[in-house]
Order: sequence, then structure tokens, then C-alpha cells
Amino acid sequence: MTAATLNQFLLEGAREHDRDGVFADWNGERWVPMPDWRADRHAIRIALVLRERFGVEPGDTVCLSLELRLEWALIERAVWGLGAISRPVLAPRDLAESKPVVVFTQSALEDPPAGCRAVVDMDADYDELLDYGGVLDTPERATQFRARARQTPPEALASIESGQELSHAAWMAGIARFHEQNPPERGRTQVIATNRPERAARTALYAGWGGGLVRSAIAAPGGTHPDGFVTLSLEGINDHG
Amino acid sequence: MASLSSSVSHTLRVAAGLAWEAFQSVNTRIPDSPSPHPAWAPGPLPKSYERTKPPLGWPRETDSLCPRCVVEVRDAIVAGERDISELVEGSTGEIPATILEENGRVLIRKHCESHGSFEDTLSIDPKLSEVLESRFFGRDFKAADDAHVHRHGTSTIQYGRGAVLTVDLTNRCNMMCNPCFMDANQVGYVHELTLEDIKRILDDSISFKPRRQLSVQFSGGEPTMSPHFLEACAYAKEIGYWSVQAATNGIRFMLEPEFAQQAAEAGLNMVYLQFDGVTNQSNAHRHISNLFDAKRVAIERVFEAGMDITPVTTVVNTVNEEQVGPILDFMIDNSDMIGAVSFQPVSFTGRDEEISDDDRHRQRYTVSHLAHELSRYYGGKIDVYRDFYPLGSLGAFTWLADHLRGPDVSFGGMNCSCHPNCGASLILVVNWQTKAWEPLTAFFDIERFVSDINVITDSARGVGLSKMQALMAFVRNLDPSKMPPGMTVAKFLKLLNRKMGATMSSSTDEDEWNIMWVGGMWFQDLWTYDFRRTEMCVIPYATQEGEISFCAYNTGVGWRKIVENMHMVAKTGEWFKDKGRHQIYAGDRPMALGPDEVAEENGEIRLPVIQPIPHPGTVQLG
Repeated sequence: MTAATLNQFLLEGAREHDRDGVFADWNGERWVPMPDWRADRHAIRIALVLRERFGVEPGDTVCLSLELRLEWALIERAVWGLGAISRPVLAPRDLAESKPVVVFTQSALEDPPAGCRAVVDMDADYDELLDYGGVLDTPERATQFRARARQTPPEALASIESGQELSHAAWMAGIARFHEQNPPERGRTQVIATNRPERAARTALYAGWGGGLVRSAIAAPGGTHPDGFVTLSLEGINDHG
Repeated sequence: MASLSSSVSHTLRVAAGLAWEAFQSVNTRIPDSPSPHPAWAPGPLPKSYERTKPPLGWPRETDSLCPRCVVEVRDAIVAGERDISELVEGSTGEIPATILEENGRVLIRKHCESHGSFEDTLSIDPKLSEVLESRFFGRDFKAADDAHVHRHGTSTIQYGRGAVLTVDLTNRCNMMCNPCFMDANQVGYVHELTLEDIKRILDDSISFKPRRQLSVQFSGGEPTMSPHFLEACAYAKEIGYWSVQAATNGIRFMLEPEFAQQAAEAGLNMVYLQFDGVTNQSNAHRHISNLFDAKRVAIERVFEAGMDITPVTTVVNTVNEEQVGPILDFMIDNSDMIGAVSFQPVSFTGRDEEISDDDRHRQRYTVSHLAHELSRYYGGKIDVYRDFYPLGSLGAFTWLADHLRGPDVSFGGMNCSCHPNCGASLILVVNWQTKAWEPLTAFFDIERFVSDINVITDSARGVGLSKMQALMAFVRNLDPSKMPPGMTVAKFLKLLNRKMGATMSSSTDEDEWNIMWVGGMWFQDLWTYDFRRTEMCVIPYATQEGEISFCAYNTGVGWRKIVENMHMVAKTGEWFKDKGRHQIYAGDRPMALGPDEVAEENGEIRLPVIQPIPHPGTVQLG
């Protein structure tokens, strides 16, 4: 693994992969793969709306007040690609402290923080945001997004969570440790059995995406899954150093 | 060894011929068996003597349009002064026409009581036209239970399962070709399908019989400008389309190699690439000064992504007709990446409907022009009368395949059963390493093979015996002594086996030979319009108002303008204000030739940023 940043790593996975999908999404009846191309395009479209419409700049904070779902990965990748900082809202103070320019939420936000330009309600606004991003998604914008994402230095701040600042390098160190403990295996679906957006779960998610071989599914704890689905033990994933 | 091989080939050919004769001496004495009735068809597969044909030969009468009346009616409908029902229930603008031979040409001549007489050239070689018409295989099934899709009055498609279904995803484009009758920048409104529209259109296309295994071609404007392009490709594959294509200028694939790869993963099989010449100068009318260089890069990107490429050239007499030979040279030189090329003689549509008679006659280019130019350019190696077959003759192979596949299949094969005046093609066999090539018809008697197919399918002796007869027919019509240097019977069989999916895919490293389809597709305009062609169109447009013949959509009564006005999303100015502008390549300037150059450019297309508000609430994107 030669990528020094999350952006480089995830771009590599988007480009080089050997699987039917980067994620598996439960549609109520069965697991449906989300192909790599769709995930990549959605991440780019979210990034373009964040940048072009909401004016997100490098160093800005974007909060995610959501349970863990596959859109988490798309949004966070978009944020990192812009050189901005993601902040999971795990406690009420996280929103107030972070001064985000944009908040993604899954329920109405009664008291948005000062300076916030937009609140994206996942149920009400997400599809519209993707549609709008689709129009913005031209080869010129997409190419510039990727080029700038690649230029992010490893020491740049990627996320702030539970009071800890984590750089791209720190995240990549965690992903490397994850791969040592869970070598990527073609054809496997790794089940991340939690709805809390903890670091460990997200480390597994991004390790799968960038690695190019494994598909990730987010499920409630305690469920049964088809053959080929392997439930990860999140306790075994080290915290970042 | 060579002489032993050729001796064996000759023996096999003779043996196959004797076996064929022996078999048919019995077969033709037994009454024909009933034809199979596949699940996808409205009835049993017709015998050759049951297949219908449009009136052919000349002089003949047909139905056409007055170039002036039609424009008046169309504009009035768009303006709301007349009702669209006139097109569905009436014969607005229709006048009879005569197709005749005069002074060594085949002409179409018609007279309007209001606007006078009109005349145009259909062919500069009546003998070639006669040969092409004689090779027409016959119409496909009449469409059944299709009223929800085919409901366009005298422009309604009546026959055939079609070959390629065109779906215009958007009329937005990233070029400014002049003239263009589709581009949002020039027509003043944006017409763009939603993903729901696209899915409904595709679902409708497989909802009636004959249920056909079409190719679907996403077009525009520039289809890769549509936000739903990749999803459209994926959905088409999901519901069973065998081949997914894009009619594109290639710019997106060139600028964003990742997109080319993603398109292939989403299901795109083939890129139908606009290609007007083999120099930047010959592409100058597209207003990008390095457009040929850009096309070369696009071809490489598409090939690297594993997709097929068919370059498409609009040929205009006295403008770029001299490019025809060099373009085919280019294709042969790059036959490892390219398996087909489509030449499209000019059709005067859109603003070209205002062309003067003098200019129209001067610029008129027909399939017969194309055939003779290729023959001339290659010093007679291409034989005009031996090598060109009407596009509809390919239906013979589909009929055979339909018989051999049996009744328990859900889709019929792709059937190009268009009118013989719609176009013609020849097939080359090319060695992409040595560049040796030969027309297929130089060593394979297609005419007799098609006749043999009729015998096989008419007698309908079941899959096993039909396959045996097909093999005998194939071998007996193949003359290995006339194959190009380096080609053997074994290599030819291997090549055909690789191609039996009927893709024009390029060679692999192990396969030095490729088949190259060279097509001449001549779309109609108001002067050459013939309703007998539109009613058996095999390349319909699938729209929010049903499936409409290609020529009825782009010219004729002009259903494009009517449908787009009915379903426009926004005026162009409103769209740009709300959603921002996209990059447009024009102004006779060079363009970036890949992502590195694009990344270096500083120009960004920014929109007004939403300002912080006390209570932002739900985001407002519009």
C-alpha cells in the first residue's frame, strides 16, 4: 500500500478494483451491490455541491450527525477530497464546538450552529443534492477534484472526533494495521455490525474501499448473513496512534 | 504445407458442395416443416416466400413530403397555433412522389400545388441501386400490441424489431458545431430526460412483440453530459439489452479516463464516435483546432477501457468527401482498436432545411457516391457491385440465428431489416498486424449463402439438421484461394466464432485478424423523404412520446422539435442561471488532451455560494 493519504488511497480503490461492488446495500429483501463507479460518482457529486454551492474550502469543517450508513463513506470521502475536515457528531457538544459550514443530518436540526450555511436532511434533501451534483459532474470538475485531492499532504487534518485530531497519515496508519489483521480477500463481503460511526468501523469501511477487493456491508448487530459475508470484530481494530 | 492446406480446403469446399446438393435433393422434395414460433415473436418465423417487401424498382410511386408545407405545419404546432393531432390523424404536408431513372441517375421528383416542384438525386449509379434492391432480404414481422409506443400517424413504424434504439439523454453539448439542430445552446431550451423517463422508455421498448434484442444507443446533444448516463447504461443492461452504445464526441472519455473505465463497468459496449477526418484541418468546421488529436486520444481511452469503437463521419460533397479514403486507411491502420466505421452521407436537416437548391445539389452525397469513391480510391480492389449489400441483408443472418436458437428464448436476434434505400455496407477482413485486407465478398459468396439460408429456414428441419446445413452452406460458399495473404480457413472460422455475438470488437493479441464493417447510412431529408422507408425504420428514437422513426424524428414532420418543446425542462438561460454553465469547446481554439492538462487549468465554473443564514433549515439547492 503506497498511498500516503486517504484521498490517494480511495482514488486508487476507485480506479483499481476487482469486485462487483464496493458496498452491499440492504434493500429490504436482499443485499444489492453498489458498484465502484456509482460510489465514485456520488462522492464526486457530493464534493462538487459542497464546493460549488456551499463554498466549502480546505480547512472547513463538515459535520455528520448520522448513524453509520454507506452514505457516510461517500460524504466523508467528498469532504476529505476537498481538503476539508469531517466531524462525526457523537455528542451534542460536537456540533457547537466544531463550527461547521455544512451539517448532514438524519433528523431536523432545531438550532443550527452559527456560521452554518446549509443543513442537509438525508431523507428530504440527499437525492436532490445528488441530482444537482450530477449536473455539476463534468469531466473538468471531476478531474480537478481528483487532482486536488491527490495533492493533500499526509499531515493535513482529516477528521476531529472525540476530541482527537486525526491526520490523513494517522488514518492511513490505522488502515495499514487493519489490513495486517484482516488481509483483503477477493470476493469477500465484510460486515460492519454497528450503526455507530466509530473510528474503528469507518477504518474498516475505508480499508475495504481503497483496497479494491473487498465489499463492505453495514448491518445491525446480531443479524445472520449469506455465505461469503464475514462479520468483523471491531474490538480487534486498533485505535489510531 | 501451404499447397497441402489449400488442397485440403479445396477438397472440403467441393465435398461440402456435393453434400449440400445431395441433402437438398431430398430436402426439397419433402414439404416444408412448420416454422418455430419463438416466445418473443407474434407468430411463427416467416418463410422467405411469406416475407413482404416494399415496392422496389422504378419507376414507382411513393409518398413523400413537401419541404415547405411541412416546415410551416411544424412551426405552427410548436407555436401552439395548430394541434399535434393533425400529425397523428391527418396527412399534413404529404404529397406523392415518383422515383425514376433519368440521365444515368435515380431521382425522386414531386410536386406541391402550393410550393411547386422538387427534385433530388437518390443515386448516381442505377445499376448499383438495382443490385442493392435485389439483395434485400425481406421485411421483418409487423409489430403487434404496440399502439402505446407506435402512434404517430403516417410516420408510425409498422414493421420490424429494429436494430438500434436511440435515446437522447440530453440536448446539452460541450461543443458548438455549426450547424447543429440539437444543441441546447442553439435551440434555446434544455431537453433532458430524468432517470425515471429513461427507465420508462427502456421498459416500454421491450413491452411489445416482436420482442427484440436491440442495441440501445444513448445520444443527444452529448449523452455523457447527462447526469444519468452511467445509470442509463446499467439499467439497459439490467433489463436485458445486449449491446449498449453511446453516440458521442468522445471528449469526456478523453478528458477523464476514469469515466471511460466506469462506462465500461456500467455496461457500455461501444462508442459511436463522431469523426470527420484524419487531420485537424478536416475537423475545423467543429471549431476545435486540435480536434483530430483529441479524437485519437479518445480512441485510445475507449480501447484501454475495453470498449468497441465505431467512428462516424458525415460526408458532404465538395466539403469533406475526399476524406472518405483516408478515413478508411486510418481505420485499417488502427484495426486493432477499431472494428467498424460508419459513413453518413449528408442529410439536410435543422437549419439546413433552409439550404438553397444550388447548394443542396452541389453538396448532395449518396451511398452510390460513397461506393464509387471507395472503389476509386483503392484502385478497384473494392468492387462496387460485388461487395456492397443493403444494410437490410444482414437480416438473413438473424433469421438463421433465430432458427438455430430455438423457441425458448425471450428475445429475438438483432435484425437490421431496413429499406434497401436506407444504406449499404461492405465487410472487410483485416490483419491488424500486417494491414493486409480483402473484402469478405472476394472469397465468400454471400449472395449464394443468403439463398442457402432461405432454403434452410424455409424447410425448418429442426436445430440439428439446420446447423448441419448451415455448416455445409458456409463451407461450400468459401473460396480459400481468394483469401488475403496469411488468412486460412481455420483462422477465418476462429474469427467468425469470435464475432458470432455480432460485436465489432477489436482483436486480442492472439487474434491477428479482425472483421471491419464499413457502412454507408443515408438518413433522409425533406427532399428525399419516402414514407415506405420510415414505416420500416430499424433505428427508432425512443422518446417521451413513443418510438419514432429516425427520419421522422430528425426531419420529415420534425417530431424532435415537437417532442422537445412539449417536454423541455427549462429555457437555456434559466438553466445556466440555476445550475451553472458547463465547459464548451469552441472558438477554434485547442483543447486540453487529457486530465493532466485539465488539472493545470485554473478556470473554475463557480456558482453563487449560499450565504450563512440564522436558521438555514433544509438546504435549498435551486
